[in-house]
Amino acid sequence: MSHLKDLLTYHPSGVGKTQFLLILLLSVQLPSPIGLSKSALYISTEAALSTQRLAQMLSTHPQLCDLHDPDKPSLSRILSIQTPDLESQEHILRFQVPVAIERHNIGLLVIDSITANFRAEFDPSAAKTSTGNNNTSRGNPVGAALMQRTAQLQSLGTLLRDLARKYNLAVVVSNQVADRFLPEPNTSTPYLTPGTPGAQRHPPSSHPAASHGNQPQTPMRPKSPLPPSASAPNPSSYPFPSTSIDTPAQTPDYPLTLEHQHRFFTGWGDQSSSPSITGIRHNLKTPSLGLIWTNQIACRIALVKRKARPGAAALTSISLAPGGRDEYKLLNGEAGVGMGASRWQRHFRVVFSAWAAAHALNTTRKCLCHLLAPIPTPASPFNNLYSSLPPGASEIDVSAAAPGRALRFTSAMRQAIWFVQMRPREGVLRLCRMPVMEGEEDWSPQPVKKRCWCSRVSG
Amino acid sequence: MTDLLAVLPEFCTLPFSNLLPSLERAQITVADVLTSDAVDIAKRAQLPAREIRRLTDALLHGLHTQLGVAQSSDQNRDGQVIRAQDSQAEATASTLRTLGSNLEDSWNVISTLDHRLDSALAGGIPTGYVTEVTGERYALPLCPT
Repeated sequence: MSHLKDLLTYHPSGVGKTQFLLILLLSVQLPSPIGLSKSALYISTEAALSTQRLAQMLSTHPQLCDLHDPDKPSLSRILSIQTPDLESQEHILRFQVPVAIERHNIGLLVIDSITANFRAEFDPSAAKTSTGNNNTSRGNPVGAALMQRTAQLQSLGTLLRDLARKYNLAVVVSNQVADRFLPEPNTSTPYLTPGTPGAQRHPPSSHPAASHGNQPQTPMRPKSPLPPSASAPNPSSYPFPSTSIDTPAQTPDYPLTLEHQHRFFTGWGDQSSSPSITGIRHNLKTPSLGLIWTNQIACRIALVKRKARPGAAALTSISLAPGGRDEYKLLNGEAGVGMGASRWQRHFRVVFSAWAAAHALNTTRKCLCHLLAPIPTPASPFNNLYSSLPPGASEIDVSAAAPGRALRFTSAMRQAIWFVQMRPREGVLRLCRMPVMEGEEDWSPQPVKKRCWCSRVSG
Repeated sequence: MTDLLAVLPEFCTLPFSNLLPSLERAQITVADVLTSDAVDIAKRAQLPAREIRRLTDALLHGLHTQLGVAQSSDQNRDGQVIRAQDSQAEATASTLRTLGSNLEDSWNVISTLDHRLDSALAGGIPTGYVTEVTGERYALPLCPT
């Protein structure tokens, strides 16, 4: 039973959001170059703070478990409070949090998640059905509810920014995602399809202001579809079909639409040209709370989970000595045979930020990747590997696991590179240590490349 | 005027305590006072226009001080250089306007305990900013919002 529970708890569908926040709760307590030597405040809206996970992290994280008492982060320096509804959240943030910050020397405020209360208390469909399909602009209940939520979001954003600035505090909030739906090219009117002559008729750069200004509604909420006779103009007589509501706005490639611009700030959809992701349009997400909330934050980090590309599944063999005496099979991210979890690749993306460049990192999902999944599941085929790890090292930098590269522990054992050896016949995973030349402070791929040759074997 | 507490928490309402109840009753916000003509506001709230102008000036000064483009009034009275420097240092912490060097001096980050994530974030999660972490949940909700 507990086995099942563990499997569920660390189910691969998680992207590690809360894990990321929990790490910050501990690292803020560390002294200066790493943290701030301050306490942390955790405001949860859904589940309470998992002290069990924090304790596990404290005892197993390679950078935390070696520390001793004065430096070691402790759970007693993490304050936590639950806000079950929006009203209590507002009250706590506005009145109780400033007092707590001053009293307890708080350096980090975490809200997990900012969405839950807003999502629970904002229900546009209920408002719509209560008054029927009354879509007039003045008495629109959906619009009124949206207006109210906009004001609430803006005041919340102002409050959080003021707190961050006034107390020199790091504020980290988590957000959820919703599925994003693009208009299907086939179901809409034919001239909307990008390939048809009708769509080519209005180039995006020529008259954006004209088509934009004539639209009575935002492209997000188009009115009920017009009858075909009204919405389908004669293509020959309409070079710029700006009189129709949903003409250029619904084409996601049109640069002035929100659908097009989503890719700049949501973290999803800007890599549609990447060959590794097929069917990207069906897997688009959007962080909740919309553009209003996006304007309130200074940085957005998206943790994205995708199926790994099939080409990366090959096993790699590395020979340490040039003579090729010892041959090790490198465990690539995909090499966990029969392990569904390892097929997922996770991307850490800085979508936008006020201080760092936006880019993405790939983190292949593996049980040993400490930041994202601290504890291997009991049924994991990596258990042998985990138990054979040296004490204090439980993290593998799987990014270095590209073919031909060594795995490395980003832990206290910086002086050594560890190879994961896989013996498929015995079903055993083992670690092999490869010594690094003395005086080499940090690991870089070049010296490894010099000393080992690599070849791909078909997995 | 209840939003005054949110817009300008440090604003001293004592000289205007006779105006605020009437403005409150007429449902006039801070934005109304700042953007509308004082005569209009005075007519709506049934107050003397000169008082409204006085309030508008004080609000503007308060906003400028918060922004850092005006000096706070008590600092004007203070003649001593050292005190002025001290209060200026305090003011930079509370105002919206900062110099690049100040920003650099007060730049603190919280590491994510992973050097790759840290390098992606240019050091870590900095103080003074609101950062958002987004991603899917464990159980995926199908919520087209």
